[in-house]
Amino acid sequence: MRTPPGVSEADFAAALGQFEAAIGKSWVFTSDEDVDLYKDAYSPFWGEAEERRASAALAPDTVEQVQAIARIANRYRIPLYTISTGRNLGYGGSAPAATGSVVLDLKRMNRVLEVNENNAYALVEPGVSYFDLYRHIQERGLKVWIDVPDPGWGSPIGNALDRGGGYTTHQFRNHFDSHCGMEVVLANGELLRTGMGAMPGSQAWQQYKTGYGPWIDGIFSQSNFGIVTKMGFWLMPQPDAYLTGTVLVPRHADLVPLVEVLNYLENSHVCNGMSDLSSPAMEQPAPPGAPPPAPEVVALINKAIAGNAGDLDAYGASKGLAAWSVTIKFYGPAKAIAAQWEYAKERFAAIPGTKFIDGELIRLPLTAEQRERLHKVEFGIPNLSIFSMGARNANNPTPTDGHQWFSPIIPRSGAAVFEANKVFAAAGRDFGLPVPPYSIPFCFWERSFLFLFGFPVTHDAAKNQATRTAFRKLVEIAAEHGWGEYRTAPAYQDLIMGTYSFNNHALLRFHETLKDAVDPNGILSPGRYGIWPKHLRGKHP
Amino acid sequence: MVTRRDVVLGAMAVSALPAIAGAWVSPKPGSTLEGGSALYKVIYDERFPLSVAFGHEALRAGLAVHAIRGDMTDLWYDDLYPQWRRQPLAIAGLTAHGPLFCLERLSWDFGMRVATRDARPGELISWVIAPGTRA
Repeated sequence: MRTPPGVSEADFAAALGQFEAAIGKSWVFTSDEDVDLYKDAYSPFWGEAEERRASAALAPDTVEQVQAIARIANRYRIPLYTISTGRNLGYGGSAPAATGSVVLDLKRMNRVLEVNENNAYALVEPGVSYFDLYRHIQERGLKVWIDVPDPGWGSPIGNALDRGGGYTTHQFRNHFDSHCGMEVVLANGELLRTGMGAMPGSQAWQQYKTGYGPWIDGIFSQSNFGIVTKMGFWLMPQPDAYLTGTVLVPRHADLVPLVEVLNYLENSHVCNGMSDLSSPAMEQPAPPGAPPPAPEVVALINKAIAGNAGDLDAYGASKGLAAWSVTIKFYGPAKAIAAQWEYAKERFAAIPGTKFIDGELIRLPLTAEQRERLHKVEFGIPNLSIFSMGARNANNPTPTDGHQWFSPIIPRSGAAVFEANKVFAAAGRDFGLPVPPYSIPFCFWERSFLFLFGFPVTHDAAKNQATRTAFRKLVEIAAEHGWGEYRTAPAYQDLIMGTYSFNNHALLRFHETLKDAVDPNGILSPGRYGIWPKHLRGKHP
Repeated sequence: MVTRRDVVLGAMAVSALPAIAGAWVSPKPGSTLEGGSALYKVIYDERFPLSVAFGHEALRAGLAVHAIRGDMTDLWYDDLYPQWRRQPLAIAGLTAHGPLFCLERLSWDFGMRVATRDARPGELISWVIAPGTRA
């Protein structure tokens, strides 16, 4: 049996015995067969000594059991690594940040405590999956939507705490922003409620976010200051209709005004869905399994990246391909969103040569046929179809065994996209990373762009080592340009926290001050997002 | 298109299923699950001729089958989840890695494990997921 770092076998055995007394013997997992299930399926350290491994796992069923676990862990200084469903693949999965931690698996706490249709909110436990919440709503015929990530088998609480996102309107697709109220077990086992939940008998816990006094919810995300055992979420009232409209502009340089107009429309909430940016002329982003652009197109792309897009524009014109397109999306009353699209067209028409394609107006709810052909996540429908896209085919002869996301935030401007491509294309070449010919940013978040690079994880340690080295270089290069990652796997959490270094790492030092105050024995998820307890600071692997 | 080779290989894969599943789910080799069937469902993927042949052979052998096209969400949401909540029962398949990856992880929450996993021609894997040792 593995033991947590710094814990004697005798103490660990005593702690396990007390865990068994607290939650039942069958929910304390110590065999290799059971504990190995918590390995990260997409671990960038696959099969290497540094691969994160748990020493045991605990699966409590109630808040009281979580409190008991925290008290026992404090007594024996057992590090606990909390997961909800542990399915944030590409960002660490269920493996602990510090090898030897005991995984605190909350998936048995899977109760949907409330869904309020009238005021559109839900209160759930950590083990509730998007499928569970969706099923709860569908079975009761409630006219509210959830916002789901892709894939949708994770937990709304887990995803929100890791600051993940989805695909519907701006108000809901930032999952942490859409939460309202938390219940948290602190390291000493004490129970805390945030927002209006701090008032005994409050009738508005899920209706007003901040309550009174400092709003502390943020410190429980991407962190290790508490164990969240309940969380409220605002849901989206089922809209009447959905509409898309596509804007096409002819020149590479048109990205600058295109993004300016897009920003105005999104920031004004004229269009409220997640916009999709692409480049028909550059054939980017390529759909899964598509062949790469022809070498002559890649050559034109490289010239454009270097600052000369004239030939690429001429190529696009000769083929009838726009330099850029953006599909904007609207949810709301059919008449209103049709008018919003007309207004958007007026704004985009200021760019010379702009063309428009009217999308299909979808009356909601979806028909069975629409449900089959449309992108389900844009309609709040959880699914796992993304796992069927990596199949081997002529263009993908060697599917990988997973991926690790490199996901920097860059400014919402055309100039930033041009600059980022110059930097990332060069870095991709220099370090042998599979960077696409031209990287198109995503519009998940309001006000900023997100680049997402999925670098492969394989079962070949040498390849993984090379990818990790390149990944780290990329993080450093991005930081030199002021671009930081929004989220990452434990393998890179220290590195990336180190890039948020303003004023001699004042932010991390503040995190550490908090950590020492609220978790003096350092039992909660040591190392998560680069925050280490005092006794492991500077001594961890 | 399903070729003669697909049919032969599919039949071979099917012929091993009941024995494999029966041996895994019961301490008595050859015995069956409650309800008389060693397998709850056999899963095949319509995108692959060999998998289609496998599904057809399973049907001919009297097994309940379910076709997917890469995405196993509906199978999970409408069929397996309600069934496994009532009673975890074994399933088998000849699919690509993606659907197996999902089904394996989802089955863990019901105390189930992958009992067999064999690479087949192309990228296909024949597999059995069955109730494990932990409830």
